[in-house]
Amino acid sequence: MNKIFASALSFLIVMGMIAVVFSALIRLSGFELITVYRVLLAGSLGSFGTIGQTLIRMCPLLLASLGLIIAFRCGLWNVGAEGQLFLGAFGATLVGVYVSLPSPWHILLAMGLSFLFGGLWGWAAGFLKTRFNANEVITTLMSNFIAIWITYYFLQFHLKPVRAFNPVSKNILPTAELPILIKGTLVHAGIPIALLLAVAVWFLIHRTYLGYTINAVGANSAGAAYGGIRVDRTVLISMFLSGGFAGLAGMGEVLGVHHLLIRGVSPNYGFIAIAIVLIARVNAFGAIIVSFFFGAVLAGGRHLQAMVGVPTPLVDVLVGLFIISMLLQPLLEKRLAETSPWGKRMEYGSL
Amino acid sequence: MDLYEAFMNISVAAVSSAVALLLPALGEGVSERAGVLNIGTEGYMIIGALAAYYGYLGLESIWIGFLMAGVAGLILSWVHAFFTITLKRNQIVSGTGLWLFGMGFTAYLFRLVGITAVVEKLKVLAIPGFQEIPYFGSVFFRQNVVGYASFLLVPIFAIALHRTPWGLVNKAAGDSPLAADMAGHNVSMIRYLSIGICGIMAGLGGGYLAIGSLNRFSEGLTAGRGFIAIAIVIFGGWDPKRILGGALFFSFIDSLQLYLQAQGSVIPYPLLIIMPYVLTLMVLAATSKRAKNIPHKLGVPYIRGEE
Amino acid sequence: MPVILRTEGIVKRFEKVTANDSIDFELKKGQIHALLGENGSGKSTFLNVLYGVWSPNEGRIFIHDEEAEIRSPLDAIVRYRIGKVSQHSDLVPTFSVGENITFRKVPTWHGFLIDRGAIRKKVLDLLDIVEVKLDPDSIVETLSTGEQQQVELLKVLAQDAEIILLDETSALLAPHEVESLFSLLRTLSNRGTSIVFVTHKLYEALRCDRITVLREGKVTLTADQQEVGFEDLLGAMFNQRSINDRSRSSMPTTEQEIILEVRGICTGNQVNPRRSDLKNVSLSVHSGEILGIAGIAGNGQGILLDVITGFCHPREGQVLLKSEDITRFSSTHILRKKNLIAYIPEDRHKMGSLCTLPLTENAILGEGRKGSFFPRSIRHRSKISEFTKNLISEYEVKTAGMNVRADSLSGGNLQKVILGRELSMHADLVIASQPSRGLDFKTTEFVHQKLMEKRNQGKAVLLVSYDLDEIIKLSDRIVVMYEGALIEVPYGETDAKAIGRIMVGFYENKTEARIE
Repeated sequence: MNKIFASALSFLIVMGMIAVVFSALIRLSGFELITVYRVLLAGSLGSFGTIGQTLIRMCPLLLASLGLIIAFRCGLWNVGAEGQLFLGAFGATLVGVYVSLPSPWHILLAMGLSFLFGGLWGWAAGFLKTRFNANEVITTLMSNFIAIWITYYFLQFHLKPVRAFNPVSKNILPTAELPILIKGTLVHAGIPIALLLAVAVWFLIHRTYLGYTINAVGANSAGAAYGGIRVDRTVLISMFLSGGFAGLAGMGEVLGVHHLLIRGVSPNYGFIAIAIVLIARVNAFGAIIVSFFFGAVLAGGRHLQAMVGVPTPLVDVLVGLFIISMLLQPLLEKRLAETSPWGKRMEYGSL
Repeated sequence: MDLYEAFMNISVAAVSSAVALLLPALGEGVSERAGVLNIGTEGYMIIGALAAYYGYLGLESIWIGFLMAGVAGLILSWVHAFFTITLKRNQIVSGTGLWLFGMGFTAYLFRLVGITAVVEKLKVLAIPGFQEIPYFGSVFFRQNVVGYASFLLVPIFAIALHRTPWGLVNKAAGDSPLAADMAGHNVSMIRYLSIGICGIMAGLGGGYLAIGSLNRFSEGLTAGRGFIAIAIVIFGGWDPKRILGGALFFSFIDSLQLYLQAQGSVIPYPLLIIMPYVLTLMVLAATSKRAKNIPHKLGVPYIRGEE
Repeated sequence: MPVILRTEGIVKRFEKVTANDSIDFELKKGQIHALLGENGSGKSTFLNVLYGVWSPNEGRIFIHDEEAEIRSPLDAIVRYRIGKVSQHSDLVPTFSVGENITFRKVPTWHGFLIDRGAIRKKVLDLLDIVEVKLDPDSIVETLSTGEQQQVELLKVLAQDAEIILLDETSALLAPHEVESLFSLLRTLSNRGTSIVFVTHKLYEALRCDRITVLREGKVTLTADQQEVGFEDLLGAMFNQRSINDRSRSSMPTTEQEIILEVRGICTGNQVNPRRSDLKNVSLSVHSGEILGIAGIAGNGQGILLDVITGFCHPREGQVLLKSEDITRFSSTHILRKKNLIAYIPEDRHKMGSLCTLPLTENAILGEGRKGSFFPRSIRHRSKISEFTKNLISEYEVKTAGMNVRADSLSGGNLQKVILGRELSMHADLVIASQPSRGLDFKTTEFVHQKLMEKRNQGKAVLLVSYDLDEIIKLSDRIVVMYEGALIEVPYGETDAKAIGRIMVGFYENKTEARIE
């Protein structure tokens, strides 16, 4: 069986398995399958408005995924996208609330600062790795919480209007708001920006020298070093870019969706992005499609509880299942590639 | 309220809430010592919490509740073991997936079932005579049964890890699985066992939260303790005694922070909350001996013949 | 003394290579039996057969006169009391000496606690027997290589081994550590342990009781130590052969420009001296010549190449590339100069290629080529694919396409890609390390031809190889690396035996009975 066929088939089987488990869970909980799927579909793609809901969730997912694509391709397990996102949101809020500029400069400055904040945070983990050989999984994991709480701190003690009770910042100035593109929906300019950036990241990875070095370091850092590539420098750049894009994800939420900073700015977008990148085979265009899909799942799922009584956390279950199944898919693909189309295992050398 | 009283109150709260950190940290320490990283510990904890709650409610025995907690944690952890040891897949991905699955599944189930009845949590057992000791008496000797048991587990784990053959093989599995394999030990089994211990301990920790120190399950009950446990393990150099110290220390900071919040103090409490994580990063950044305690092959699947 | 181990006609084949060709071997009780041979002679394979790692294709093994079937290393130690000490360590670095020695079966107190007293006692007893000084509680990773090897030996003894196989274990030792090793082995043999000692160093072999020489998988000589001398052993290791089919450079190359010059390189430190530390190594490679460095693995060739390419910095000495001092440059800096140095490394997979990436990415590897393949940092796709296509056809690489992963290629084809990549840079200096290892005849010929082409074009080629025939065939000048020192071979010498004697430590300026 040739590789492409094996790849596609294994994906289908895995998706099928997820669908089976998911459906079983729904049935066992006493709900009607059709109803659930109908609500999911309606809530995500049913009307113009709901497609808007899908798209505004796709935006941060895509941006965070782009960051993870850069890191993963460099062989760096950045699990800190969530924290980098928060810091990016924080940076965007600072510019949005306290700086006064005409748009679009206001927006651009906010984007720049949020990219910088997220990027520095990612860079820090990269620094700990290159300088101290600290495992980046643990450092980015820990730095998540640090970043989130630092953001909460500023929110609670500095950004919140003094008399207010909820930890919510002041509204950003209208000049910083990402304009709505389609009247009557929530579709904001961040979405096309994210799509453009996806193309940019694809271009970076596949068409530039930096992308080549990132891929090389990720494939074999010793081989890359032998080829004269500066491995440490590449790691630092990758982590900076990775954090930066996650930061932009936060920016999009602040400038495009909420127009202020709230505690719940991200429902684990940074972690869902991990699943997205794995499914999309660490490819930017794939990430567009998969983040649209997950955006739809999140959008469709928000009314599940209200309309059908299915608890919303089912979505988290789905994300977890996807991540787990991505562990199995390569094994399945390998097994399938070794069989003839009629299912018999091929013995090497028999042909 | 004077300073001493405040300090006392904080300490009391700290020690009893340290249990929920100590249990998963001890388990994670064993597992990491054998070379396996469990990002999913938070997931094991929350699933243990829910299992404990339902077990207690359903079968009206708090001990059944704890039993269910351990079993639930064990099952989820062995899924991780299956992926990472038998299938030799990436430990980070597996852990993240199981964590999200655990969080989602418990919340889902909880909302679906819809029971939120309060249960009678464990009673505090003061030890007569000891509880009169100034400061230490009220802080340490007024715990519930599980609390005492957890503290007793520390020397047990220490002895098991440092003084039994199992402890030796467990350590070899994390530092040089090749040597362990060549010496005739079954690396897979050792790692399965260590992951199982992590699952049980984390599950019990979650159970303690739900029915030991609080009186019911609620979503997000674990509040990141599974991750703090990972931090404690690193901070404590993978050693049970130091892990106890780390658990107490981080718990103290947490209780302090809650107190300050309640008092409406101007000291920014989030800065205290991040201390465990910052300290862990500092440990990792050190090129000193503690960091060198890191199991050599942490996170690396063992494949025979690939050396 | 009775014969404790005997083999009859052992044959072991791998694919197309016959590593062991009908080996008859006899080991007596209490004997130290040397197994002597150069790289590729089959010594390690034979040991692995005895240790149960491989089962022989033909032949029989007899232990205590009973036919034995050794199915695995566990089998070897438990059933037949055969233990092996190899070059890579089987010790747990964070364990103490005692813990490592008793690891297979840890003595316990009441069945569940470790009996540290028993461990100590066992270790001290063993240390007494072999008259070695070691602290049972010291952590293994803090010990020197020699001490670690002693621990490995003790470990094997602790498992009650009667027969101990040592696979080139002396290679990594410092001179005084070799002394300790031999003294330990002698003590053991006096107590009745039988030892098979694999080495390529003549003088070490002559310290053993009996010597068997292997050449190309066959036994060429076996005799007691007092019956043979250097010449006999040399003749058995290297047959008298001259390689005449070579195209030699017509120009007296020493008058050409010196491209690479190495002066007085010393590496290593006093604390942990190694025999492979470089000792005042100097050489020069001119344009239009192939300088061949012969020598058996482990004598410092790898270190020399690391120094030249910047992976390690010498304690003393200089490396000059076209008169520019590059001694202190990092490897990244040096290897960026793809138009100056082309490096075909010994390890194709871990270093020379990016295995999981497509061929195209591998073909263009090299920061020095950035300008041509990535003008203004943007990938020039047509140029890259054309280059790769040309490389594939010119170097006759058998592949399904240029976008397949590099690790799907066979070893030979991967080497061709690396060769093509490196040689296409028109670098003035080409460094080739083990360029034809593991390759079939046709591919080897191809590689040789390409290297000679480079030489004919006026480039400088530094060739390092464990295959003496390859060195003789290709080199205009030959030097030998032995225990960190570089010894020149008289110009025009093509006799393998003459060069071989230097490779095993027997050359002018050295005394006959060579004891460190």
